[in-house]
Amino acid sequence: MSTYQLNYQLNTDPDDYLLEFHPSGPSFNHYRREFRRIQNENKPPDAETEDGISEDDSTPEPYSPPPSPSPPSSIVTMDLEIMDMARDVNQTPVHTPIQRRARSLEPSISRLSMNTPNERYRQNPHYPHSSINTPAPPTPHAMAARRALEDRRIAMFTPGRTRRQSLREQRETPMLILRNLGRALAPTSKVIDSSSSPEKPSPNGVGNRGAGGSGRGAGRRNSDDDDELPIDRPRLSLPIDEGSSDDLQPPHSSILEDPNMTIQSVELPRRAISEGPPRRSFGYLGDSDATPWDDIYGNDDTNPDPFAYPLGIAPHAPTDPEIADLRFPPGVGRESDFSLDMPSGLSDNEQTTFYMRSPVVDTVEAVPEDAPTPGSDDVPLMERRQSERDRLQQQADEADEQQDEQQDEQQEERQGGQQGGEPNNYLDDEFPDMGDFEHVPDLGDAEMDALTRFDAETFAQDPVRPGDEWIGYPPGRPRKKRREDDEESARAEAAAEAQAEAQAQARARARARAQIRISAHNIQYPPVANTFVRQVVQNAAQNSALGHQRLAADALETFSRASDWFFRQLGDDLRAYAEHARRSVVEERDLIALMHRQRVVNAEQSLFHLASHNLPRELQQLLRSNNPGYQPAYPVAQQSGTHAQQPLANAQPDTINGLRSFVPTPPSPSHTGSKRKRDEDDDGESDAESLVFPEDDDY
Amino acid sequence: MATGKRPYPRAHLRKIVKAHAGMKLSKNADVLIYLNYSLFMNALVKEAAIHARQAGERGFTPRNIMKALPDVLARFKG
Repeated sequence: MSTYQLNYQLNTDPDDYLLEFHPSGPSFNHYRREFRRIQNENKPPDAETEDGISEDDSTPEPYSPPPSPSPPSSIVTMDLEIMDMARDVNQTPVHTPIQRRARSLEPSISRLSMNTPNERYRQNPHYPHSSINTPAPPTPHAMAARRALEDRRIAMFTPGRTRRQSLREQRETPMLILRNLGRALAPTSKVIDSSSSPEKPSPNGVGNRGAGGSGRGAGRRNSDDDDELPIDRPRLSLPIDEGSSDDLQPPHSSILEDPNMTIQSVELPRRAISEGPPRRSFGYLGDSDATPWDDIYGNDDTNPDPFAYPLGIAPHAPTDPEIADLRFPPGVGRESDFSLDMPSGLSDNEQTTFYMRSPVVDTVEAVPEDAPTPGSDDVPLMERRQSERDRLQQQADEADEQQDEQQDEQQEERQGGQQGGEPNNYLDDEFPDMGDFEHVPDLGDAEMDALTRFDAETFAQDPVRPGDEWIGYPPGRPRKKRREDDEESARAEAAAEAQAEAQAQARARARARAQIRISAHNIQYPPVANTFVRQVVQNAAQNSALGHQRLAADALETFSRASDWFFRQLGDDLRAYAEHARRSVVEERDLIALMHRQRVVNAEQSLFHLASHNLPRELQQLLRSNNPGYQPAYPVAQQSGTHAQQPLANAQPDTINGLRSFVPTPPSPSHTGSKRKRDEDDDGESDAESLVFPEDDDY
Repeated sequence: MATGKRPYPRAHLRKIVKAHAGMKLSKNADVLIYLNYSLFMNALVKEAAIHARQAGERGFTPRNIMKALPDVLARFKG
């Protein structure tokens, strides 16, 4: 004890003064243990064990038991020793028992503080307050729990042999047992490489290379095996380690690499051809390899090429429906509604031009009828294309002048039809009669050439102006004059053509304006307005990559046509739904059902969400406020604005997700309704103002 | 919100869909029709932009649109 006092006096470590500050002070056992430790320093190391046993003192202590390290036999101590193995060599192992610690290092004075109750929290600097540093648990249950904790921690750092219990049955397959058996029975033999791994020299590869002389992949081929002795063949014809080798891929993986196959095999709804969109009208715009009716329209690379297309213009498929391959007669291939009319007088010619007659209402046709003079050229035609807008203003005057000239109406009609390659003459319903085909043999060589030539610059491009035709002769016409001698006649012809074309355009536009479109239910309907389509497309294109481009006229025309098809499809669907519900009115329910089936409204994306992103505010308000039919069916109507703000987070299982947020506000201006709408309108305008919607009586 | 700008030609749209469906439309069904149409156009524009980007073109061409159209129409078939 005197040495203790002396040590305390000499100690300058402030940790040791903590011992002084303890309210109850160190107990007797504490001093006793320290005394034993100091005694152990002077002992020889073989006398360690008996002191280690007597280390623990079972006498109760007045304060919390000092962090007496548990006996080295306990698991906790072993684990702590394992953890100490990772420590630095110079660092003092904190968890070693006192005897070893005191013996191994010099007996520092600060070791005295290791047994103080405050010091125990500093034993493991990595886990300063963890349960490791706490003394051994008093109960066996606590000890077991702690052991389980330690096992789990150790298992985190050990490789997965003991950790991955779920794969144990995979590891213990009979194949594994057999392999272990094989390893036990023949520990020195090598694994026979199969023929499926040609990089490794297979044992039979010696004979293969000697006979066949081919190194890589020689064992795979049966022709090389034919050269072998018949003894070796049956053994090595199959890869032996096929079942266990991991580098062998399943054969269907190559299929899955195809994205289209993946898409089609996974989810995308596919329709029967019969109920699909009007696919017949899709393909005339080119991209003949993607369109399925090449056999109808005829690939011209299979053609003997009677028109001598310039080289380098798209070797196949001008996708001109009117110039098609006659080797596909109309009745042979796919049954289509197109009727192919072969001009009778043309049979002596070797040219395989015939004309397609379209049954579709909105497909556009133009037919060359007559050749005015041979050698007519199209240079002014192309030039007129550039100055088309200017001419359109003068159409009426030109028409009058044209009337003054000797050309009658029929002549104009013919000339306009002759310019079918210029795709702006006729729209749908002005398809000229087929009875004029007796004029077809009158076509001169130059005219036929002009009709069937393609310009490299304008080929496969599409009509520039919205009034242009879609199906017709290719828009590209020869730009250069090919014949210089009859320039005068060509010029006169061009002038006549210009006026005729101008008239035809004027008539076509007037007819397109007053075009009668009849739906499948014999109801006349207007075409989709181009301004509307442009507005919607530009709204949609703001998010896309091409949003800042100006929408070209032909693209706009394509979009409006797509819109027409879409509305046709939509009308059919809505009628089907309403008829199924035995209604005669298409209601909002049908549209919501449609959108569910289109999967644009699903669990992740509610209708409210869609509407808030795609509709202006007054339309959202209209949707919300004017749906009284939903109110009895969906009693979530009384939900407040927070639900409307977070339709996804508050998804309730008993309500349809798309409808829930569209529950109208109560008709009386209750508090919840105004609150919700005020949450909606961020600019805080009054309710009465936003309820006003511009009525549609004027349009 | 008494604005002069109409959000979409309402009667126009109603006429078109009414003719195709051969039925009447309820009062506000055209709002949802317009919503569906704008979704369709969004999808179509997106697909066409992808095709245009793949073809290296700068704007929409009818070729791109027609390439994207069958898929998008099939997707919006109810």
